[in-house]
Amino acid sequence: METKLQHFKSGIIQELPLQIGVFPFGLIYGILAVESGLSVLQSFFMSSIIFAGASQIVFAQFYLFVSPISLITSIVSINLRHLLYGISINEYIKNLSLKWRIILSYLLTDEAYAISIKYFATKKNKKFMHYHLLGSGLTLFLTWQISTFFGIFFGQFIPENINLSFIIPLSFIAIITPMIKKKYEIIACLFSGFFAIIFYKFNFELWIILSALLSISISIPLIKKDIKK
Amino acid sequence: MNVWYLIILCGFLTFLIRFIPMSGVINFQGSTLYTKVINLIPIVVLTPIIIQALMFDKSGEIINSISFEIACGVLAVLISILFKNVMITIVLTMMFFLILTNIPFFNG
Repeated sequence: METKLQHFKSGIIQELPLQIGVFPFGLIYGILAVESGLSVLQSFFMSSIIFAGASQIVFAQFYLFVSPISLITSIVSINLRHLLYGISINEYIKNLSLKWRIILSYLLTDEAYAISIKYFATKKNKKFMHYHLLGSGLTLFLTWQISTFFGIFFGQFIPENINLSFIIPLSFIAIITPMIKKKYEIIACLFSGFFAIIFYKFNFELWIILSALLSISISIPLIKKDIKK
Repeated sequence: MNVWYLIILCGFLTFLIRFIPMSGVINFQGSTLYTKVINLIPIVVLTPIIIQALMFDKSGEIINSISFEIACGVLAVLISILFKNVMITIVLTMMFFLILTNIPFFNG
């Protein structure tokens, strides 16, 4: 059985490759935030107060041009997918204290979730497993703060022709491909991709969550069939 | 509204969205169907993010031709099936992607 430290280390080690993709994203945010007129302190502390990449970029781009209500609605819509992440992580943290739930909720990002949910699903012994999410979440948190700092102060020196942020979708491909084994999983994946194209193309703010919920609805009859087998 | 207040409010709402389902206040639990649906979440949430990164350009327009991103996405799926390893998939596909995007022969 793994110790707390082993789970924690696994979280850090498995999260590290994704940081090559997260770092440029943080740099971009840092550059954009300062260029948009936010002060250095606002730009930097937004990374720990909001701690959600896409939302921070939307904030920096639009806070001067839209009403506070529109800005808040956009940010809430972008982050709604975390509701689904939370529901699925909750399965593995049922016995944890409120303090732990608060810490892990704060650290729950796309990249930390993707790495840790895969780890949780493969482990039979669930004791201390939350240390993995702590490790992956803290790794991402630190990278995000450091990359924001570099973006704010050194952004103008960074070459534009190396698209390292492409690592993020690649790592998601590497994470979900081995998870897709059954027929209903293939169908759900194809439909969520199909709906994503439609909803994103037509600027639906809730495109991720809508694509996810619709593809789940389509898969339910197939899941029921799979259970009956 | 003061920008600091706006940042704090957005931060609080972002945290709340993450915290509510993990708080234990709402008891999500149930059948085999529920468990299987929960296990589908990573697939159905991460796929749209992948599709958006591969199939749309920076202005939000769909890429009509086969781009380097799509070609590398397909390659990543194949490598991932073959090796089942996140690091190998990232390294091999990124090498291919950087060659495609930085060598003038491929880049036109």
